[in-house]
Amino acid sequence: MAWPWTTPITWAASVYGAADFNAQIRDNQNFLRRISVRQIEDAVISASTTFENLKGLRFYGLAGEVWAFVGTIFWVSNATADAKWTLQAPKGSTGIFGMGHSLPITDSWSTTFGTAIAGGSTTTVEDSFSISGLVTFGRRGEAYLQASQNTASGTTTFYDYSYLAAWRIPS
Amino acid sequence: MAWTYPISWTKGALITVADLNTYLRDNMKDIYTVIAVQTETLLKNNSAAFSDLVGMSFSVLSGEVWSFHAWSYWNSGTTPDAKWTVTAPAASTGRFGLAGGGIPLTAGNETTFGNSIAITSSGSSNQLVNLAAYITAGANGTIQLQAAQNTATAADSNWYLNSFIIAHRVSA
Repeated sequence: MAWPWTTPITWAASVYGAADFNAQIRDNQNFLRRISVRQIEDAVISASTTFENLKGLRFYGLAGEVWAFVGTIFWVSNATADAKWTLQAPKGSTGIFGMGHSLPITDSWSTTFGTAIAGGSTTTVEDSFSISGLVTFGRRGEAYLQASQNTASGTTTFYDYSYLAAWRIPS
Repeated sequence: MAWTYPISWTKGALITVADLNTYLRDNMKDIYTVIAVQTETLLKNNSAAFSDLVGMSFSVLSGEVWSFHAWSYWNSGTTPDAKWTVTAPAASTGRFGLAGGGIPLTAGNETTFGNSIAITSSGSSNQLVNLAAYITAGANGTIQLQAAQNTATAADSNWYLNSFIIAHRVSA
């Protein structure tokens, strides 16, 4: 469904019809819609490389909708375990997702949802990833973030209050 | 054009033209956001000449103030470096910058639109940079992101489609 942006009019003492309100309120509010969510609890990974959901870091789309997202993951690990994350999306979805970090990343983005993107931890210090991506939903459902250790060792924590904002791009 | 906290509409209250202009027109303009998506992959081989990242652009009017963040997904193989710039209408002022990939930069921001910011390749892998800018438009026109190899090298460098900009109009 298309929600074009219409430059807001200056309202005057006049008679307005349903078309005016649909363009000025319904379509413009749909155009501007965005969601902002945060991780609601720590994800504590102990000696495991199995992805776990970062609870709360998800957004919902309908088939054919295009969403862009950006966010930050706060985490702490160790130099052996490092860390990895991925984005899962409904079957048939296409797009791209990636990660920025203070250290070089071997492969910092992918067009295959579910692919791991790993970042190194040189010492046990509080750290963060910046994340971004664009998803064209193949069917209705949720796109959601997962994370884990890159090498099973010790404990790695992905903190609550990690967050993302997502915008539905008007078609 | 400024944000005014929306009022609670009440039964029987007179809705005035001023209300509609304050709570609809002005608030809508205040939160106006543009998301612009790169629609085709840019390929460079042995070329340091800037080309548009097609789709990574948005229109501005003279005097408008905009800020944006952009995420550019690229792959430059093992050898070619890369560079980006932001072009803007004549007499535009502000600053733009680049961060990303954990790679130290020689210079990470610029006040002259059209000048380049370069980054070395970390290797033959997919890489990502974040660009940002704060711009006062000097004329009507287009803000456009561009990229190229930093040193022309006979190898493929790609800047991928689905990179995107999120731009906010700060004031009109």
